[in-house]
Amino acid sequence: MKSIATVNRRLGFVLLAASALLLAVFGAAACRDSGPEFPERDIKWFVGFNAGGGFDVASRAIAEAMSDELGVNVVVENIPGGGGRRAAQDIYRGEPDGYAVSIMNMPNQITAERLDPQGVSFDELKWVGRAVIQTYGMYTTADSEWRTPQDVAAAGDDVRFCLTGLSGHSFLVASVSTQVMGIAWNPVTGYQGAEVQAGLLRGDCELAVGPFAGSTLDAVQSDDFKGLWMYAAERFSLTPDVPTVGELGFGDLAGFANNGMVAAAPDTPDDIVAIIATAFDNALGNADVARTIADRGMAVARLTPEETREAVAGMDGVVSANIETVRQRSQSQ
Amino acid sequence: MFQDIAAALGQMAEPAVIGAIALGTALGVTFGVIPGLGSVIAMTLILPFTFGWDPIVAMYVFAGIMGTASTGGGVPAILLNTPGTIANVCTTFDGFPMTQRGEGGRAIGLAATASGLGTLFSIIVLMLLLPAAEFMLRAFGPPDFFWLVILGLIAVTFASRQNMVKGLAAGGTGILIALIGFSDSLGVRRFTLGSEYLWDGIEIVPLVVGFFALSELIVYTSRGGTIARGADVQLGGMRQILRGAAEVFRYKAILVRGSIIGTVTGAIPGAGGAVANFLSYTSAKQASKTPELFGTGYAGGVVASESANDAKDGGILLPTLTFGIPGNGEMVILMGAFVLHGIQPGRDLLVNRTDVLWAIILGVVAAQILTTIIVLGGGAWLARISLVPVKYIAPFVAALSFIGIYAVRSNVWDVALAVFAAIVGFLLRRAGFPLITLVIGFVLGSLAEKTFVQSLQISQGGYGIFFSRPVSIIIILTIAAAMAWSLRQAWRPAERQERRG
Repeated sequence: MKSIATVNRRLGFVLLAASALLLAVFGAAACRDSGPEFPERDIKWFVGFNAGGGFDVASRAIAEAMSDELGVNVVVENIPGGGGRRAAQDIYRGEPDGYAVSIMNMPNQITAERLDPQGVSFDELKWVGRAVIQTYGMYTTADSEWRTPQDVAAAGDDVRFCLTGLSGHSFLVASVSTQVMGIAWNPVTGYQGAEVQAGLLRGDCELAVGPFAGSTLDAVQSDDFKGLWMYAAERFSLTPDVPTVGELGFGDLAGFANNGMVAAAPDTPDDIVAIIATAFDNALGNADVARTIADRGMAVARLTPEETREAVAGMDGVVSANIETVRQRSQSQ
Repeated sequence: MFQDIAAALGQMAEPAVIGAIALGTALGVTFGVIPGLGSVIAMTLILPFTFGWDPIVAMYVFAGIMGTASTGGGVPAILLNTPGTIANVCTTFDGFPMTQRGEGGRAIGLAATASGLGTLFSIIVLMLLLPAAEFMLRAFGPPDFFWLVILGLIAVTFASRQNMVKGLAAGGTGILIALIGFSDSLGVRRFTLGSEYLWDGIEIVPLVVGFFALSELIVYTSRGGTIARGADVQLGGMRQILRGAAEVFRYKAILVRGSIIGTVTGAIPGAGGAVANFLSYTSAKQASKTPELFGTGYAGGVVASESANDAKDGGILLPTLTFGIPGNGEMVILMGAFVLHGIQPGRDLLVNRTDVLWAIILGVVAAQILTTIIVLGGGAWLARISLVPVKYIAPFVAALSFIGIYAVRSNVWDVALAVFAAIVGFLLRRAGFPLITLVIGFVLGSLAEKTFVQSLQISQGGYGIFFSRPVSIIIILTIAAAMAWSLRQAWRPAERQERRG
């Protein structure tokens, strides 16, 4: 006959095993309900440019607001190099854990990648959303008599563009515009920042194209220069007198802009991307963040992760359609 | 302009700016006092650490160093017969004999006051010329810039008088290094060897830290001991220092001549403080009724040397701020600081960033006043820094350099580049190649290429653009005159020898 003590011991084991089973089952269910334990540590936010630029300022404001949302620090890290390529490569080859995201200048980086491939496939990145947008515009000196693309085209070969170089988005915008609008193509390159305006004033060139933000916006708003047209569907609130390309009969060219788009590494789990995207979107809704961005001549233009992915695919298509023109014009110099 | 000055003056009351001026002054005086280090190394070391700072605050630090190192360098020249910087060489001629007579304090008083007044003079000249800078910018197109850069390259090469061939080789190597990387003007990669790191070209910060700071450390460490060889520090009391300070005004003609020579020489790329120092001393001696007193502990000799080497500050800032053409090592580093802080010299600086412009100019003035007071009060104590053994200084400076370089771009290859540059710099020094010429070639080389391509793009391929503009023609004539003068100078000793023979 088994003793009471032995029965109790067996009963104890059974109860213990049952408890463990219950804990395992309910624990797993609880874990499934609460989603991944993310984030557990600081998140890096790469900026592929030096501190102080438009995207950097916007990134810092957004990262601060995201830190409050996520309960961990979102730390901005400037990784300048190759016109943003280094940061893009770091995120593309990074761990798919969501602890690093990068803001990228689109479609600038697509153009650069197409002209000089470095193995970054933008459609593989996990897109979080769009932070800011800087719309492009064409401008000239205030004393110029030109008002429309037809006026400029009528000037024949006496039209030169002051540009940064033969690889950026300004180059693509100028290349495509001249082709579509029938304007002569004479680029003068090597102008950084406000040098473009000095070049216009000296007569090195007659036209300049660039995002109407920062020092370019200051110039267009000054008495020395005037905006000719903007590549947008609607007029820009900070330059209300400047018509859109649509108003001038070239609506197909609307949409040229620098887009500050944020991505995580390829293969980052969707639930982690969703957590980052929610915090990111809430940060963009913060009034202080919006004010900081607007002060730099940029605009908040929110997109969901899926919309961002589609927008990048669309830009890829535009760049691909025009890259031969850009390449030929680049090589002809 | 007056509004900008008033705003900058108001800004100088902010604690961060006061701290920046104090930091720049402390670094400038300390590195100036330690022979061989000087302002370039001080600016080089602090450059990476300013990354992420408010650009205004950073510029006050750089201005503080620029305005003070050669003043500090006068102290060991007078007390230890070892010039702190190359621009203080002539100060030893009369300063050290004064120390040997027990009048070191008087010499320090003379040197510090002459330095301060020289700087103030040149800054006033700079302020008077700045309103014309916008006009100059409009008048100078890419072809004129191209010739100006060529003039700068030639002037820098001729400035390396010891060996013009080595100067040319160093400048040419600098130009070749500048070609590395992606050329935005031509849309092609050059000499990158497939490396992504070289896409942006050679980074200026690790290059100059390696060349100037780390290679100097190798020199000192291989030699061992202390930086300055021991000497008796004879000062003579505070009363003597103040007597010297007041005595400067007895040498008004020498002071004004030295200040003018310093300002004008400073504006010529490649000339700088050392040339100003010699020119001022020589001309003061030639103009003197008692030239035999020079070199025997004559107070006027100290005034001539120290007024000119500091008056170069205002002159040298003019081409850097208006055209982005750096005339010496300090300005190369300042250009590096501009790049780091997203500032474009030229129109951007003169029109959009007047806050930065005036931070530099007023920073130089404030730091110079502070330095004059520091040197008058504690010059003898400062001179003892150069008697600290190198084995204590070298590891500290090296660690600081590596941390600073990595901090800028979080790129370990930048540190590797600095180590490589240090070794190459050390070997080039030993072989007698001027590193400053190489770095100026590096900076001016890319500018020369850019303006050359721009000129041809503007003219749509016509080379006539280089020879048809009035400004270009004036610069070409200046280049021809400079070359003729230099060649004449070079042939003169040979002619004399022939005559003697």
